[in-house]
Amino acid sequence: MTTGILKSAKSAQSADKLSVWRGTWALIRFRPWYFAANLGLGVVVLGSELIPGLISRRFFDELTGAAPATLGIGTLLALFVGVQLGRATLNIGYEWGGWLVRSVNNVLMRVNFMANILAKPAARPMPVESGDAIHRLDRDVGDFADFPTWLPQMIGQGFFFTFAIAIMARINPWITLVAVLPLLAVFFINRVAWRRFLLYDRATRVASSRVTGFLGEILGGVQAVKVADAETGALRYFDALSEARRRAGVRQNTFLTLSFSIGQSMGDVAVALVVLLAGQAIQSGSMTIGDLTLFVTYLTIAVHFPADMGSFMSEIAQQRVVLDRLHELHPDAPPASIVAHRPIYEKGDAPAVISPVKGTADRLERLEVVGLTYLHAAQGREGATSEAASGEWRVASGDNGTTDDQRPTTIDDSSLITRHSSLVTGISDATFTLPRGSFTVITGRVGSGKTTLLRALLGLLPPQERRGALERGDGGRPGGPLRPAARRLHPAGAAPVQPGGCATTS
Amino acid sequence: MLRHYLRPHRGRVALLFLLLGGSIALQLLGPQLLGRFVDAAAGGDGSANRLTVIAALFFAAVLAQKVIHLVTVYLTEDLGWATTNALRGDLTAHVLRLDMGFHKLRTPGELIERIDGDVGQLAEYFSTIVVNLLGNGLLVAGILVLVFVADWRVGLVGLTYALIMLTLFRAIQARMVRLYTRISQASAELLGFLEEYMTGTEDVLPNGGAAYVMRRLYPLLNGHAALRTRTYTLTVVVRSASWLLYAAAVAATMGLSALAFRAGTMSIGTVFLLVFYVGLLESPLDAVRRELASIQRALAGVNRTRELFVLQPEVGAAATGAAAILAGGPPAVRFEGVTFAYKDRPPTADGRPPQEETSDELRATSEESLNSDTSDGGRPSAVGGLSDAVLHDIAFALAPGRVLGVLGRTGSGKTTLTRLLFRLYDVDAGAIMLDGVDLRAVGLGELRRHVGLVTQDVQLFAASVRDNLTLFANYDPARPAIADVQIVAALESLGLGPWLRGLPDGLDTLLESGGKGLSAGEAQLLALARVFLRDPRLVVLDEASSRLDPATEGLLERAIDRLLAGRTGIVIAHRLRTVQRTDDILILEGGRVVEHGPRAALAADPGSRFYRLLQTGLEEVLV
Repeated sequence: MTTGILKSAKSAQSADKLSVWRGTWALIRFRPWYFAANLGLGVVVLGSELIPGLISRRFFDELTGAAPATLGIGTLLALFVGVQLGRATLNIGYEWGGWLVRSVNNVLMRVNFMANILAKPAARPMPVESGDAIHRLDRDVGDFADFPTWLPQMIGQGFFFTFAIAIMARINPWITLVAVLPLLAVFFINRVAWRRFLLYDRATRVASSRVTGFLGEILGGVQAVKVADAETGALRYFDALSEARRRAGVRQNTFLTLSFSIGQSMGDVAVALVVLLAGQAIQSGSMTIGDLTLFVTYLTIAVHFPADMGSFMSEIAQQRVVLDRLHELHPDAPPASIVAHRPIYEKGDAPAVISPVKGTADRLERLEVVGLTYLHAAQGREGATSEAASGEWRVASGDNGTTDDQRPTTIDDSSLITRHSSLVTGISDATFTLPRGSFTVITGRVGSGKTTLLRALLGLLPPQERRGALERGDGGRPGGPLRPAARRLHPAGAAPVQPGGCATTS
Repeated sequence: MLRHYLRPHRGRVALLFLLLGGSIALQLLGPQLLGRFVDAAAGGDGSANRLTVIAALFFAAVLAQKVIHLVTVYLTEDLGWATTNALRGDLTAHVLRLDMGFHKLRTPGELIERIDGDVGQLAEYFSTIVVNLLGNGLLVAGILVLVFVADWRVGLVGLTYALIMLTLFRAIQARMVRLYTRISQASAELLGFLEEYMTGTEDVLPNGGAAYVMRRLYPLLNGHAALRTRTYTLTVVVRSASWLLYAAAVAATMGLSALAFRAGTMSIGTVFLLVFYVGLLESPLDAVRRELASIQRALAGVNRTRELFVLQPEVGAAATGAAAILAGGPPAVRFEGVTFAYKDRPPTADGRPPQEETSDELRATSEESLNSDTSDGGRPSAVGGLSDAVLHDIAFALAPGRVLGVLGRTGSGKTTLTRLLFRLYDVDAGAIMLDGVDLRAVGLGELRRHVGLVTQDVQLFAASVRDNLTLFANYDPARPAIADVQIVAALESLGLGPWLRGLPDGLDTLLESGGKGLSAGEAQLLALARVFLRDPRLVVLDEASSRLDPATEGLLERAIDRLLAGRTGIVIAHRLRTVQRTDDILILEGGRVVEHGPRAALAADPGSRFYRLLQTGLEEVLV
C-alpha cells in the first residue's frame, strides 16, 4: 500500500490581484488579429481625418484667391469624395475588428466564469445573489471586454491631435497656442471628475444589483410571496430599491453629462477664441478664410482627444472596480482565471463529453479519514475567522479487492464530531474508516456537522490547507487529487435541486 | 403606454420641450454669426469692434446652449427613471399576480431580463424619442430651412442628403427589429441558463455534470454573440455608407456655392455658412440613425413588455366581482368532488408535479403497505389511466378547529391539495368551500390573509430579519404595521431568542439570500414565526420530513402545537408525533381519497389502512 501526502493548491487569497493592464493584455492576445485590425485601421481611419480639413482649406483659399488655382475646384472636390470613400471602406474593417475583440472576449470571460463556478468548492454558496451575479456577468463583463478597444481609438485620436496642432501651429502659432489651452483644460477637468464619477458609478451599480437581486428573489420564491399575500409589501420594498437606483442613476448621468459637456464646450470655446483672435489676422492678410475653416474643423475634431483621454483614464480606474466585482463572483479561483485563455468553440465545434469508463481499479475499497477538520463561521458574525481547515484523509482500497467485507462499521472516535461553540460550526479532527459495502448512518443535532462532513468527503468544500491523501492498493496513481474520490461517492441529499437537462456520469 | 406613465409629470415634460427649443435655436444661431463674421473680416468693411461683438455673441450663444443642454439631460434622465420605475413596479406586480403555471415555465433570470432589461430599454426609448430624436430632428429641419433661405439649390442638396440618409435607415429598420428581438430572446435564454447552473453547483458537481454544463454553454454563448455580430455589422456598413453620403453632400455644397460665388451672387460669408451648415447636418442625422437603432431595440422591448401585460391570470379572474369576505373564527373546510390537472407544464415522464415533494421519497419497504391494491407499483398518475389529473374527485369535510392529517406517498397529490387551498391554481371540477363559501368567490388577498402556509422549503430574502418575518408587510400601507415587540415575542416563544440576541444588528441584521448561513431548523422556525405573526385562521403545514435533530424538533413540535391550537389545520404529516396530534386522517393515493375518518376510529379499526400503517411503523413509511 502506497501513501502520498499532497499539498493542495494555495488558497486564492494569497494570489496577486490581476492588474487592469495584465488583464487587458491577456484579452488582446486571445485573438490578436482582431485587435491588430482594430489598431492598424484605427490609426489610418482616425488619422486620415486630417485630409478633408486640408482640402476644404485649399478650396476656400483657391476660391478667394488667397492661393493660386493650381488644382481647381473640381479636382479638389473629387479628391474630397475619394478620400472619404477610402476612409468609409477602411472604417468597416476598423469597427468590425473592434467589435470582434469585444464579442470574443465577452464569450471568453463568461466561459471562464462558468468554468470557475463549476470548479469552486460546490458547497460554498454563491458569494452574491444570482440576480446580482447575472447583472455583473452582463454589465461588468461587457465593460471589460470592451476595454481593449479603447486603445486603438486613443492612439488614432492622439495621432490626429498631434498632427492637427502641428499643422495649425505652422499657420499661426499664437492662435494655435491660445486655442489648444482650453483643450488641455478638458483633460484635467475630466481627470478630476473621474474620482466622483467612480463613486457615483459604484453607487449606481450597487443600487442596480439590489434591484435585480431582490427581483430574482421574489420571482424565485413567487409561491411564498403569493401564499402570504405579500405582493403589495414586497412591491413597495422593490419600489424603494428602484427609487434608490433612480437617484443614483440620475446623479451619475447628470454628472457625466456635466463633465462631458464641459469637454465639448471647450472645443466650442476654442473655436470662439480663434474667431476672436482671427479677426485682426484675416484683416491684416496674415490668415486666410481657408485657414479659419481649417482651424474650426480641426478644433471641433481635436477636442475629442483630451476629452476621451480623460474618460479613458477614468475608465482605467473603473476597470479596477469591474475586475474586483468579477472576482467576487468566484473568490476561490485566482483572479487571472477571469481572462484565462481556453477554447470557446466559436464554430460550434465543442467536443462531446466522454463519460469515464470505470473498472474495478476505480472502486473505492476503503475510505479512511484522518483528522479531517473543517470549520466555518456562524451566520451574522462579521470579522470572525472565516475558515480554517486542516487534517488529512485517505481513500484506501484493500488488497483483496473484494466486496465481502459487510461487517457493520462503527466510528469510534469520540472527537469525531464536535460542536465547537455557538460561533463556529463544522467538524474537527474527524477520523474513521469505512470499508466497501458498509452502510453507515451519520446522525447528530442541527449544526453538529453532518452535512459538512459529507460535503468535505465529496470534495465540495474549499480544500484550504487541508492535507489529503488518496491511497490505493493496486499501486496505481498514488497521491492523486482529492476530487476523484468524489466521483466514487454518490450523494443522495435531503433536498436535491436537479437542474433541467443535466446528465450525470456517476 | 409611455403616455400613461408620463402624465403625472406633465409640467416637467413641458419645460423639457421648451428648453429643447431654446437649445436648437442657439445651435442654429452660431453658424449665422460665423457667416457674418467671415463677411465682415474678408470684406474689410467691419471695424475691429464689430468683429469682437460678433465673436463675443458667438461665444455667449455657445455657453448658453451648453447650460441648457445640461438641464435637458437632467430632466430627461429623471423623467426616464421615474416613468420606468413606475412601469417596472407595475410589471412586477402584474407578473407576481400571474398563475404559478406561468412561473413554473420561466426561470427568475429570464423574468429579470424581461422586467429589468426590457423596461430599461423603455427608459432609453423615452430619452431617445423625446429628447434626442425630436431634438435632432428639429435641428435638421431648422438647418434645412436656413439653408433654403440662403440658397435654394444648396437647400435641395441638403434635403436630398437628409432624405437619402433617412431612407437608408428605414430600409434596415425592419431587419434590425427582427435581430434585436432574437438577441433579446437569446440573451434571456443565456442568462437563465447561467443563473440556473450557478446556483445548482452542489448538485451538478458531485454527479459529474460540469463537462455537460460547459458543453451546453458554448452554443448558447456563441449563438448570442453571432446574432449581435450580425446586427453590429449591419450598423457599421450603414454608418460607413452615411460617411460617404456626407462627403458627397459637402462636396456638392462646395461646388454649388463656388459657382454662385464666382457668379457674384453669393458672399464668401454665405459660402462659409452653407458649408458649415451642411457639415452640421451630419451629427444630428447620425444621432437620428443611432437613435432609430436604439428605438428599434427599445420597441422590441416594449413589445415584449406588452406581451407580458396581456397575459392574465386565470386564477382570481372569477373573484373580481362581489368578493366574499370570510367570517371570523376557525373555518370549516369542505372539498366537493375536486378534480385537478396541471395544465402548465410540459408533460413529464412520470406525471409528477415538478420540483416539489422531493424530500419525502419512499423507501422500498413501504410499497406493500400503501400500495396494496395497485400491484404494478407504478407511478400514481399511471394508475387511473384517465388523464394526467393529479387529483380525482376529492371529497371530504373538515369541521372548524379540527386538524386533518394528510398521508400519502410521493406524488399522491398532497402538496397539490394544499396549493388549491391557496388558489395558486383553481380546481377543474368540483369546489373547495371555506365556511360554505366557494374559494373562487373569495378575493385572493382576503383568502390568503386567513390561510397560513408553512412549507418544507423556506423562502428567505436578502433583507433584514424584520422584513423576512413580516414579509414586507410594514411597507404595505393597507396593513397594520407589525411592531418589533411582536416580532421579538414571536421569536422568543419559538426558542429563537438566543439566536436573535446573537445577531449583530438585531432585527435589522440582513439575512443572506436563500437563507444561507441558517440551519434547516432555524429556517423552519423562522417560517413558523412568520405564520404566528400573520395569525391565520386556517393553517396548512407541509411538515419538514427530515433534516432536523431531536432538540430542534422538540422546539418545532411545541411551536406547531401552539400554532394549531384554536385554528383549523391541515397537516401533511411525516412523523408519528405529528399524526397523533391530528383529529382526522385522510390517506391519498394516486390523487384519490382511499381512506378518511377520525384518527381514533381508524387507529382502532384493524381493517383500516391507517391501522396497518401504524403497525408497519408509520415513521419508516412516511419519512
